[in-house]
Amino acid sequence: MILYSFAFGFWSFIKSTNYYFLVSAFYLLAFGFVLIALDLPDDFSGPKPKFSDEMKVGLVFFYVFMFWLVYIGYQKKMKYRGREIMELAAWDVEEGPESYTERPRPAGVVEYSKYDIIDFANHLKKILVSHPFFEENRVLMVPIKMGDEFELLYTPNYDYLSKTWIAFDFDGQVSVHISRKDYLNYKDDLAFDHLCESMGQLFMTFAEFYMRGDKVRITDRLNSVKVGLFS
Amino acid sequence: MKFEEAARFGNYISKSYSKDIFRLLNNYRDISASEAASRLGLHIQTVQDFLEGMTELDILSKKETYERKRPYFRYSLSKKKISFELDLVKELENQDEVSMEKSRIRERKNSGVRFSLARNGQYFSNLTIWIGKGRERSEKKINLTTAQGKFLYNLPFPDGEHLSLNEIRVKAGVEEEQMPEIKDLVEELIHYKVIEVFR
Repeated sequence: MILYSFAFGFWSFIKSTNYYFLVSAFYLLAFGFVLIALDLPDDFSGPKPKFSDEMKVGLVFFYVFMFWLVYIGYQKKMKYRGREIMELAAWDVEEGPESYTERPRPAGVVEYSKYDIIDFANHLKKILVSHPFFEENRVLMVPIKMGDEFELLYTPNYDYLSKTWIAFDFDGQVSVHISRKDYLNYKDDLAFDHLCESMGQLFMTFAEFYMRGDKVRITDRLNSVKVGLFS
Repeated sequence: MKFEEAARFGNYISKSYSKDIFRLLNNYRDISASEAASRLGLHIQTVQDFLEGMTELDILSKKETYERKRPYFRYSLSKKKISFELDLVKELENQDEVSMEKSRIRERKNSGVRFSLARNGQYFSNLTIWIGKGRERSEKKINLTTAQGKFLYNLPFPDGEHLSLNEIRVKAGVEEEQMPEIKDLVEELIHYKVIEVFR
């Protein structure tokens, strides 16, 4: 349990800086402590065993963290939001067969400083919308879907350029690349040009929310998409 | 003189025997291929090819002559001086330059091309095209200049609106002086069915 706590809880926290992963880590630690402190009787038909004081303290922490974890899980605080991003981008995109291309598409221009863009990328990382990769003159933000986070967390040389990404360069140019895998995840063959434009526009809107201090609007927009907790 | 004609002329005139043939043509009023060949100790076909080539370039003139059994040609110089001038700018400009200026382009559907991003981001450094069919299929890699890479980065998608070369150039932030290399690439990609043209 302690190993799981470090592998899943603390490591996720270090990679994402999302503090809610610490709840998961401490829940696993408390669970591990309970298992260590649990003194099973040799004879189960004998008198009912009494819990030691350590065990009682461990159980208190275990339940506190467990209920807290359930609550934040329900609030989607630990959910990777890649699916919502893909859904929002495709919101009003019409069908357009055979329109996919592997090229990135320039999506527009923003007028923010380099440090604003870096802060924005780090904020999206914290709320699990996308994971940033910093290059010499731009930041690539890779939306991570539930289930895809293991590759991000545990692959040493994560090939982010082959994934779906949104790049903000420090001159303000915004580009979008949608991977073939993500495009095929849509049920319909969507008009690719429009889809990329819509994706770029979505992130530019998020950037605008962030720069004017309306960070909560980003979460509101994501919560407007009705998808399951684990999708 | 056109480039192709100049190339042919250069090829003929660079032969070791060309000056000797011209000397004969200058000394004789006219001469046949067999006479020149025997005089210079060359194969008749070699001399025949040279004389025909020069005739096609209007440097010699030929006259059909009927003597004894078969008709044959006698060649004479039609020019005493040859001016060799090439307007390289005009000659080497891209084909269909004018029509291309007006045409609108975008990426072709299912073009099967693979673009590689440059290290620093917002342009391509090269592209790879599959050409041929079946066992003859092979990969062709084209390395791009920065201007070409930026231009292709801004090329409309297969379902996007067609744009003129100039509109894409402005969008990509490419200087007008770099248009010849862009047009050269666009012509190549039209040929390989990567770009479709809407005229």
